[in-house]
Amino acid sequence: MDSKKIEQLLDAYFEGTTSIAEEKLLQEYFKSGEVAPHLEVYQDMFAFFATAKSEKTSMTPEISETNNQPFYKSLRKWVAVAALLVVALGVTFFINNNSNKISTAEQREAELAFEKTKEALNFISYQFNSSAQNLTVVKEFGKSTNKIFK
Amino acid sequence: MMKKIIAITVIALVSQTLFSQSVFDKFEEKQDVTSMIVTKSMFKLMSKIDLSSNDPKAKEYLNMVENLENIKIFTTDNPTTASEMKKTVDSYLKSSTSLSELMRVNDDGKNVKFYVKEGKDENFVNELFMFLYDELSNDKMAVIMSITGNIDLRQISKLTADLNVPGSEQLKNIEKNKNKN
Repeated sequence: MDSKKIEQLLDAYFEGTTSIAEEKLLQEYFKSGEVAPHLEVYQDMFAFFATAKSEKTSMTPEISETNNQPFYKSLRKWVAVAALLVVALGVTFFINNNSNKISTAEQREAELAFEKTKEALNFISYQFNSSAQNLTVVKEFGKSTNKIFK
Repeated sequence: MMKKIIAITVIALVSQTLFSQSVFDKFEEKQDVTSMIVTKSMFKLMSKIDLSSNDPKAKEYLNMVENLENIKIFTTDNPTTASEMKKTVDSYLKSSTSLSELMRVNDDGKNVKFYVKEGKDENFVNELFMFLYDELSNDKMAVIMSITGNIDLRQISKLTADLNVPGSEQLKNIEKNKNKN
């Protein structure tokens, strides 16, 4: 393979624009041993990539999929339920508070209206009773005239 | 044809009741009229809050208030407005068929009329209407007062019975006699 093409590929490689097939080409080129002298500096690098790729860990990380994931998922679900409850409680509390609690201004108003109502009822009651009294006076008058004109 | 007649009658009746409700409301805007209107929602509010409920007298009032729909009072000391009120009341009483006269007293120029709308029994009325007209008075020349709801006349009478008005005793007798009849 001619070094010119490899140079182009390398430039593209460092730019990060090579395709996987082109990268394989590069790998093979540096593995083959027939490397142009001015490109030898990259040989170690590609050799390192090759060994790094083949490295494998002997440890198997412990991820118990059956337990952890559902727990996490159910936690999320319960958080959602709790949040909904909080919102619902908040709304009901707010509504209750607004409808049942009577503000001091309202209370004062009601007290004032109550006083006025009492006054009004007393007034009509007084008129009612004193008018009834007058009726009895007329009745008395009727009695006495009856006595005279018997 | 029949349908039309029915429709017209219904409309006439409805408009009459609407009219009769607002017939006195025009006085509300007059400057020389003192008015007071308390509505059902206010009565509800009153019964909700704790208004010195230890006081038995206040409790008595509250019990009455709970059954009321509304109270309307219009008072004036202006002679022109007073005579205008008199006219309105006269026409209102003429137009209203449901109100019946309870009593009418004319005492030294002070004219008081009481009208009621029949309630569930003899002691209860749905409306208590009072018109006081006094040409010689200088503060309350004319008073229109209308209470609607479920009103116990005995209770109304009792409110000031303690004030030693001689008539209240007689009134009790009148009611006893009425019950006998």
